[in-house]
Amino acid sequence: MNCIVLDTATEWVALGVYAHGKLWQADAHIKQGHAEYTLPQLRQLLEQAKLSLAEIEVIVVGNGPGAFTGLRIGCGLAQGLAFAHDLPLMPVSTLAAVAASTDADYPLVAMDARMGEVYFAAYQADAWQQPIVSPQLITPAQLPALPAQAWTGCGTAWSAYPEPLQHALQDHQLTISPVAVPTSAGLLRLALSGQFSTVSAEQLSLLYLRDKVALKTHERR
Amino acid sequence: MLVLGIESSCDETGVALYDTEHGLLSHALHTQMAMHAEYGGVVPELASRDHIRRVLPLTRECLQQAQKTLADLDAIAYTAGPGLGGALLVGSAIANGLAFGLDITVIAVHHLEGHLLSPMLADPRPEFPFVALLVSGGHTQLMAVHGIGQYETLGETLDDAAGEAFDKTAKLLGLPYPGGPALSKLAEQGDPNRFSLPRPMLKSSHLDMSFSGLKTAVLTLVRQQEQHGAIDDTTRADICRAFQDAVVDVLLHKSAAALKQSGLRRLVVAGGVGANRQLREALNQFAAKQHIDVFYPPLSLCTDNGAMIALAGAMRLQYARPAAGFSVFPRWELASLPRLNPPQDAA
Repeated sequence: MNCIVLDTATEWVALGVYAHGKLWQADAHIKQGHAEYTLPQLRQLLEQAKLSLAEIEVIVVGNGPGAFTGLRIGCGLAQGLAFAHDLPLMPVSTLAAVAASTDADYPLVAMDARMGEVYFAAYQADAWQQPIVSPQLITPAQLPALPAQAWTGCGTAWSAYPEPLQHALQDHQLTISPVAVPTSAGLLRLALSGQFSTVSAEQLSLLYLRDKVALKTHERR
Repeated sequence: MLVLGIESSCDETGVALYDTEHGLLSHALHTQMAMHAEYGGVVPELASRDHIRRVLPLTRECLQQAQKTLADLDAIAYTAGPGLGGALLVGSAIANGLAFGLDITVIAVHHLEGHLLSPMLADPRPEFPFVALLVSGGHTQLMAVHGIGQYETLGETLDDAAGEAFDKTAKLLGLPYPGGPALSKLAEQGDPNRFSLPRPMLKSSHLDMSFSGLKTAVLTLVRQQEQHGAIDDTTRADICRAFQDAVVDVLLHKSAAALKQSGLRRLVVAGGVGANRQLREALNQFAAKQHIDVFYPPLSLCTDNGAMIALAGAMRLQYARPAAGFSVFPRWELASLPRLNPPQDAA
């Protein structure tokens, strides 16, 4: 399955082209440069892989949650690319992509969502579509009850909110992984799991989790 | 050459197809007005969230209307600024992704150049040079336009845009968002002789304008009237009339002064407020008396739309480049755009 993998919901761009069983990747910490970075790198990857867009079968795209503007850059690019060739998009959760970027059996993903909150999810590796805790927006102090497992913490929140998170998990066996963001290898692992379905470019929906972004007029009174 | 235009700079998603030989083939628009109404103003994050849902369905609609396919496209023009950064990025990302996929070029369009050129979508179209009055919720400026990319700012608002003053004044009078059009409608029933509001900077020798003081004058007037009890519908309409008269008067006098100062004989009016009936009547009367030719975009293309972006892109095909890394420009001086040489000068 030749595919492009892309996630721009963090300060990194996870970008790869998978062809003939090999992954060419251009993951990079670009902070706010997603728009400038992505397409020129994709052009290079396609050249390296000696692949044309017409030979791509699916575009795997992280659909959040994450930084809103960055997320939309990757999703917008993926929509445009897919629409051009009537290609299917395979949306995967950015949190699952972080989890799949570790080699942990029980990844516990916590991403810094700013404003004192985290995007949180818990997985059993390779059961990506049946998360133990589905992606949600919570404060570190409000972590949901977790079954007893040897958890591996991953994601940006473990360095942003180390104390409240570790305190909330003090009764659990916990290792902190250095993996903080999704990688192209993680995205590819999700795609190759066969657990995710595809949609058309127009059907792509984004997972923001933070839906209250402004007050309505009557709420301000 | 067939150009797809994508506009997503504020609260309207617009897509259009413009053919350099056959003109505008189709355009489709989604306005987010109802969504933002509950918030009393545009919420940038919600605007961006809506744009990304709308661009592709509108693109499909445009292609179907014009009976074209993606393979027929030669270039994609998109609004790169000025506007809301996050909203601009949505249209820019989809445009660049699509152009990359189709292996065609992109043109980053200045939103105001789109407005400025939009009267070229009407018949008759203005010839260069002309004075342009750009008047909308985000902008109010007078420019001398000698050709594409040859823009000289003659004057502009020093504070609120005229359309912004309409909306803020409407809010003050308790009219629902976005109040500008509602205010204009009420003003038509109002008595022009009951109240008089100041015309800021009318007598000044320069062409700059100011509208925020007018809003304050309305507030003072409202407070005065409220001393006699709650404002009734008649008084509200009379205040709307006085406000609209003042804005129209300022725009008319400054446009007239701009024509005189520049020695030009054509006036082009663009932007959402350019659809205002009273403004059009006043400008038409003045133009008839002074033998000035005045041009407007078609009424449906006064507000933000994809057609003007496709048109501006088609005019700037010489600046098209392959889809690659891109930036948006939330603030962007129109005067900084490169000049385009007309074909007869090119040799």
